[in-house]
Amino acid sequence: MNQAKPKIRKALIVLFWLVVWELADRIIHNGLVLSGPVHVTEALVNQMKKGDFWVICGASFGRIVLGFLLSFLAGFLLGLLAYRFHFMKDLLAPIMSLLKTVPMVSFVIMLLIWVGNQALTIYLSFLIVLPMIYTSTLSGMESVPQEMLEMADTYHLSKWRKFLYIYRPAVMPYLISNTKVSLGMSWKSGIMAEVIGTPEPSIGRELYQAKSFLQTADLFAWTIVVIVLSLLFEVEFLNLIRLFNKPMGRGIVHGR
Amino acid sequence: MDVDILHLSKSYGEKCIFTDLSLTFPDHGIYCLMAPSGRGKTTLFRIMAGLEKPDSGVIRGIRAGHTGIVFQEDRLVDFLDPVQNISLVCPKSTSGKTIETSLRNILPENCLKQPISELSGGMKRRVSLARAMWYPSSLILMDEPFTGLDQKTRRNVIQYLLDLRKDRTLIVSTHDPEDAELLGGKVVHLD
Repeated sequence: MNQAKPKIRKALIVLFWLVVWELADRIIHNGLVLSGPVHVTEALVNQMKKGDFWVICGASFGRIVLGFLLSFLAGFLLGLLAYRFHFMKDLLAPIMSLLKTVPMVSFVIMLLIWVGNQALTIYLSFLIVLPMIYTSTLSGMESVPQEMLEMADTYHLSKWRKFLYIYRPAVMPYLISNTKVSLGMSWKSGIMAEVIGTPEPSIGRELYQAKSFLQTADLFAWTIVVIVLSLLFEVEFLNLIRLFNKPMGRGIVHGR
Repeated sequence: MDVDILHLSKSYGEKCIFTDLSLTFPDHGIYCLMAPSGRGKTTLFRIMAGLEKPDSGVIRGIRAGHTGIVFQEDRLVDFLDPVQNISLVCPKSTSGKTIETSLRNILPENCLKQPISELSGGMKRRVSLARAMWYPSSLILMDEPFTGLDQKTRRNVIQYLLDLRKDRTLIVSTHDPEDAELLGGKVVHLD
């Protein structure tokens, strides 16, 4: 009963805002300005009935996820290299600062010229996520207490064990927290890139068309699709990352 | 092999820790290093463990990677249990069951599968001591290893150390003459 209470409370809060949204729609009574949940649901069902709905979702999902995964891997590896080789840290510092400060729109325009609209989403997602994952990996590695490194050296721990039991626990909190932020950023920047580049097929293109033809219900429907896809990927990816945050102590002990 | 410390000097900036220190620890012995605080016991251990370099002088008779050490801090992996912490520094051939059975002599049964973070300070200290003893080494260095242990536990732990020592050279820094007596070690004054 106690466990059910917060869920009921959350459901009621969501219901309350849906009612407010619907009431606002009915009061304004102008489909161009606002579409309520009923109209948006209808628009969403209509979109889902179309043959290419899943192709459009898959294409956007693929581009954004590919950009994110490549960036996650590259950011992590570069973070490790920068920790190991000070020269790499110095070499990458201006690039990472640049990636953090250059406005997203500037990237979009440059990338449109360099890589075209099909690959734009992948590259933009990559460039937005890279400095976040790089910084979290490097900060985590640098936060390892010197005392524990001395212990590892004195007891001649293998590089793998040192990574798993000394560095990993220090890196994971940084990585998990920054991954949450970067997942959201990759979807926001990816969809924005699609709206500007309008690659075919893509959710961004559908959003652009909805805006052009003043189909507010469709605009909201596709936005809901983006939120759902983004949340699904976020939950699954964070679950995967959290697997690496487990103690992994059983593998050390033999014959217990 | 005897451990020979020859004409060792170390200072941090203006502060001189020791000058021209020479000591010999014959092989297989137990030695209790006694000195007032700040006279360089920890620094000497750090140099012996290869964690710091002396300004001058040499140390002979210590093989790199063959020294078990108890630091002043416990330096254990917080999320692993006591057996896992010890297994971490042992060769794969070391049986976890044997370590667990051995640990029952110095730790309560119910804490053997608890993460280190959930253990008391005294329990952590005992795990740190046991880790140094289980590590395959020819020399064991212990920097004030019995801090925070009550009299009864201290006696029990010292017996455990003696049982697991297996003729290896043991050098313990302590302020308490009773520790030296219980260990049956030769007292070496670092003056």
